[in-house]
Amino acid sequence: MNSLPFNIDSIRAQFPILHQQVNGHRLAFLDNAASSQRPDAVIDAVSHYYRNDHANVHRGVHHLSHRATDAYEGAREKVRAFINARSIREIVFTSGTTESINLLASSLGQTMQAGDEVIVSRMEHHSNIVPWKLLAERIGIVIKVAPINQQGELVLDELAKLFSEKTKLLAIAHVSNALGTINPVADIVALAKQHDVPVLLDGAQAVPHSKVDVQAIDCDFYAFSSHKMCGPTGIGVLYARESLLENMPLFMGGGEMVISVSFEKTIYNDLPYRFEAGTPPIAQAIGLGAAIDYLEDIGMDNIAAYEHQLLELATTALSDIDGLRIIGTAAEKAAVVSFVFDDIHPHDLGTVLDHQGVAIRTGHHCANPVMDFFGVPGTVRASLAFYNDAEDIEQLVKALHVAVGMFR
Amino acid sequence: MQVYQKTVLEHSRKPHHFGQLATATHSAEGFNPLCGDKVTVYLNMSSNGTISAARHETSGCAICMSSASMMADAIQALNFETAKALCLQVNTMLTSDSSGNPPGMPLQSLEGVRAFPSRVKCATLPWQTLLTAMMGETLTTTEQEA
Repeated sequence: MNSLPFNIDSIRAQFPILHQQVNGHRLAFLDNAASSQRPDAVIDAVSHYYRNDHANVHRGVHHLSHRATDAYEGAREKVRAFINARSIREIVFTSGTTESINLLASSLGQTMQAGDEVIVSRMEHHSNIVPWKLLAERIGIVIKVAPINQQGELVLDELAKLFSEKTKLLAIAHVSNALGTINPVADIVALAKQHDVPVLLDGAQAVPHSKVDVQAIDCDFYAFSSHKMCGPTGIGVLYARESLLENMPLFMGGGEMVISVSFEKTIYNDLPYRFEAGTPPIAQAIGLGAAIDYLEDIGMDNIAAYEHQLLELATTALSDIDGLRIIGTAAEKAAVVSFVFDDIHPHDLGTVLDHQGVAIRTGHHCANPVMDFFGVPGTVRASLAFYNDAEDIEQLVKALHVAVGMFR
Repeated sequence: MQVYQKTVLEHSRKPHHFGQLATATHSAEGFNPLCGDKVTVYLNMSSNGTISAARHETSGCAICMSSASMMADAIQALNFETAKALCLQVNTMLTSDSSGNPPGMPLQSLEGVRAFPSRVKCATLPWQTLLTAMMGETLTTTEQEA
């Protein structure tokens, strides 16, 4: 590898979970697209909060409630700055990307009618398909699907043809979880703007790996999860352009999202709180804030550059294995390598790799339409993070040779 | 690795009784929707309940394939009750810690699968599909209990 933008050994030292034996082998954790690991900084922030600062937010007059509220709202500001939103009014905390998309579908669905259209792509995760399918079943909206090519890239010319007078939303992945394809989101948004169609980007796989600037992309909605970017599980974000969010029908009802309630009249809270019913995931938000600090300290550009080097190393090493076929060869890729052998089932590979301490994901990766397109039941997916190193990739390659020897 | 014994690998590379059975009196499809594995079991059952022929078409991992292959070997000429008892024996071997009443070789070579909880359904799918076919039904999935 070329000169590294940071000291990988000191990075790895900050992730306690990496330093263990699995099945008698060094752990090579290559399942980061499913969920990343946590550095000490995040674990300690959550622990510190529970040990010192916990109380419910936004409602107590007592000291701890103020401290918890400050920390929670501080995390919202960190998220805002991290993705360069204009205002914290545009940052809605959810339970994760899936809930972010469901929130949007539930809310926008109340403004849609039978025959209205939502455009998605063939490479979507199920979480950006099923919420729209539910709307199709409930109110009869029509889902239009933008095709992909054999490299796993979106076919932009075909996408352009899908817009109509009835298109209410374009909902598309920023980065494909199954293939690693990075979509040209700024171009896609510009295309949608020509048709006056708002755009939701599923950024679950993008935010952990490169700098995302929602104003530069100019998207209207952007969804992502904390647990894929070194933060806690159970929290995610829906960024929504304020001018749209202001007029969107509500999602869930409860405390926090109201200012006053009587049986005659309910006054709803301001943005973004009116979309956050109930006690929010406070510790998780604080952990997410710590994760953002941690990532920014390393530098998202450094992370992207390093992961790109790892991707090239992995792609070259895997391509040398006899019979291995990489699924997803887009020109612009995040550090995900999905692959198959025609004569060895992904699950058998997964079990043999696990036996050698290599954690990878096998199966359809919640993207059945992608698997159908490539005519495979599933793939083996190695997804890399900035705390992986060349030794992880060597271990993967070595374990694959063992598996190939076993099954052939 | 305990789970990929020589016998298991041999059956997965060259499965026995593979393919359709044109004269099948009973057949059922079994799916594992989580991984896409699919087993079709074809049976010729005489009026007295004897399996006079059994074949399978399996698309899946080595464990699923070898389990289906060994199953097809084992159930040829069995009667309904004996085949059903064998299904239960195999199921117990794959899912229960109690030693029970092992089904003998080569089926016992699948025993190692029990140590891999995420893979147990790969081995049980052919048997679940067999039971489904014998009961005169045509479809089952690993996400419903047989």
